[in-house]
Amino acid sequence: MALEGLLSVLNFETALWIIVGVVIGIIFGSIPGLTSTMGVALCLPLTFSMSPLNGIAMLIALYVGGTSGGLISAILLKIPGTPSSVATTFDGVPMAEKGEAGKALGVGILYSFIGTIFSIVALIFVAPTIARFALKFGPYEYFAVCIFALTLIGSMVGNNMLKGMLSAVMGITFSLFGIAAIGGARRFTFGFEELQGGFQLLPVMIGLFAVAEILKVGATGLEGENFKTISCKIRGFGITLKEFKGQSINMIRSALIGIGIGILPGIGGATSNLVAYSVAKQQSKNPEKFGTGCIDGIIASETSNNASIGGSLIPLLTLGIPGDTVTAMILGGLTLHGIAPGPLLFQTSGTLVYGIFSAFLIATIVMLVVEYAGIRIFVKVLSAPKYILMPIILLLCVVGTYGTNRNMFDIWTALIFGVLGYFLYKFNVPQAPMILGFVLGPTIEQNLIRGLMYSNNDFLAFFKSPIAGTVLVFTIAVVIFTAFKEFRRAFAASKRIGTNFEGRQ
Amino acid sequence: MKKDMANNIFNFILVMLGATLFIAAQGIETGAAMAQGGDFMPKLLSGIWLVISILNFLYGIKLKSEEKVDASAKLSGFLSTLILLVVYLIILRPLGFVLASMGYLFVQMYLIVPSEKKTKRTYGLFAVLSIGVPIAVSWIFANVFSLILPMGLLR
Repeated sequence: MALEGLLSVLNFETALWIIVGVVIGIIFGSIPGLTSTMGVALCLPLTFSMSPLNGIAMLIALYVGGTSGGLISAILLKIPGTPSSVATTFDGVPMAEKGEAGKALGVGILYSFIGTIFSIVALIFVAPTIARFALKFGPYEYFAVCIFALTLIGSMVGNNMLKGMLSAVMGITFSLFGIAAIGGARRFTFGFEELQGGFQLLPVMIGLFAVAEILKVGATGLEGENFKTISCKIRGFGITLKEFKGQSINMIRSALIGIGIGILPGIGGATSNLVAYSVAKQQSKNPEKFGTGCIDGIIASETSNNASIGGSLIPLLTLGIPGDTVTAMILGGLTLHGIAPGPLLFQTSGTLVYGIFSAFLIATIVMLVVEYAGIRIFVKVLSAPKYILMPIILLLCVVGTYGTNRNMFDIWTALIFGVLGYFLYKFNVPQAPMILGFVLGPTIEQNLIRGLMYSNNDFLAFFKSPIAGTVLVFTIAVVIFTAFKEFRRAFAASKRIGTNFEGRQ
Repeated sequence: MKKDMANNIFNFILVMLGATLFIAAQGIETGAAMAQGGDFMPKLLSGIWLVISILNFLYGIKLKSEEKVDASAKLSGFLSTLILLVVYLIILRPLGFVLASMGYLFVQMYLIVPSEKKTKRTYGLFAVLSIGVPIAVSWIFANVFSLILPMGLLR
C-alpha cells in the first residue's frame, strides 16, 4: 500500500499540477499582500474537477511554494511576503544591502528545502505518535507554551527592554479588539461596527511592513538613491561545506521548533520563524552579529517556517484537526472529495495518504529547483527602481488585503498600522515583539479563560498539569535569567559611562 | 527639532493611547462567561500598556540626547504620501479599483521620483504603467482567480 501510494504521483498529470501549484505558491508568497492562504483559497475551486490525489497534491504544492516564496520579498524588498518570513528580513535585508542578496536567497531557499524535508520525515514516521501527544494539550498546556514563546522576545527587543515589552503588549492588546471569542463581550469597538471582527493578521502585517515602507520612502525621498541592479553573485547555494556543518545544530533545532509549533493548532509558521530566530540568537556564541546580516538568522527563520508545513499536516491527517487557515482549506478539499481525515485515514485511504506524502516530497524538490533557477529573475524584477516598484507593490497589497475577506475595513486597518509602523521605525521600537504578541494574543486569552473555567478560577491549576507546570516554571526561569542579564548589561553600561566621565574630568 | 523632543512626544502619545484604552477597558462587560470574562485580558493588558508606557516616557525624559531628528525625513513628504493613500482608499469603492489605482499609481510615482529622473520619458513610462498595471491586475484576478475587485464606475 505504501509503495503503491508513493508511486501513484509519478505520472505526467500529477507532476504538472504539482509544478503549477509550486509556481503559483511562489508567486503568491513572494508578493507582499498575497499569501499562501489566499492562493489556496483561490485555487481550491480549480481542484473540484481533479482526482483527489491531483487536487490535494496541487494544494500542498501551493502551500510549500507560498511559505518559501515569502523569503524573496523579505530579502529583496524589506517586506516579508508572508507572516512566516518576518524574521527573514532581520538578516536578509542587511545581507542584500551588503551586496549579498544572492547568498541570502540561496541560503534561504536551501534551508526552506531542508526544513520541509525534516517535516516530511516527521510526518511519515512519527505522525501518529506526535499527534497522540499533541492531543494531551488542553488549555493549560496551550497557555503555557504560548507564554513561553512570548518570553523569547527578550532577544528581539534590541537595546531598550521597555520599548520591546511595550511593543509586545501593544501587539496582544490590538489582538483583543472586537467581540470576545468566549463570552461575546464587545471590546474596544468605540461604536464602529467594523471593529467588531477585530484586526486581522494580514492587514496588520501589510501595514507594519509595506505601508510603513512607502511612508518611509515618501518621507525620506529617493534623492541620490543608487538605482543599479542588486548584486546577485552566488556559487552553489551561497554556503560552504564548513558553514553548513557549523549550522547543523541551528538547522536541527529550528526544524524541531517549526515541527513542534506547526503541530499545535492556531500557532504556525507566523510564530515559529520568530521563535526559532530568538532561540538561535540566544544560543549563539555571537548574538551581536544577528541583525547585521549573518546567515544564522536566515537559516533559523526559513528552516522553521517550512518545517511548520509538515507539522500542521500531522494533526490534519491523523486527527482531522487543521492547524492553520491553509490546512483548514486543505481539509475542505479532502472533504469535497469524500475523504474524512482522522485516525482511520491510514486504513481507509492508505494509498492516497502515501500519495500525499510523495506529492509533498516532490513539491519540495520542485520548490528548490524553481526558486534556485529563478533567483536571477527575482533579483532583476525586484531591482526595478523603487519609485516604480513600491507603488505597484502597494497596489498588490490592496488587492491581497481586500481579496482575503472582500472587506474595505481591512485596507483601512493596513493604513492605520502603516502609520503606526512608520513611527515605530522612526523611534526605534522593535516591530517583531508586536507581531508575535498579535499572533499569540488570541490563543493566550482563549486558553487562559478556558483553563480558569475548568479550574474554577484557580490559576494554580495551570502549575499542577505536568506539561504546563514544567513549561511555566521554565518560562519563569527564562524571565528571571533575561532580567538578570539585562540588569547586568545596564549596570556595566552605566559603569562604563561613569569611567569615561571621570577620565574626561 | 531635537530627537529628544520628538521621542518624548511619541512616548507621550503612547501613554495617552494606553490611558484611552485603559479607560475604555473599564467599560467592557464580562459577557456570558463562567470564570473570567472577555473583559479580563483587555483590562489587564491595557493596564500593563499604561504602566510600561509611563516608565518608557520617564526613561526617555531622563535620557538626554543631542542627536537631531533624521533630517532626511520630511514631514511634508510623509504627509503627502499619507494623504494620497487616504484619498485612494476613499475613492476606491466609488470609482472602482482600476480607475482609482490609475490615479494613485501616477501621483505616488510622481511624488517619490528623484528630481534627476523627472523627465518627459519617465512621466510617459509612469502613464503607461499607471494605465496598464491596474487593468492587468484586475483582469488576472477576475478571470484566473474569480476575484472581483471593486468595479465602481466601470460596473
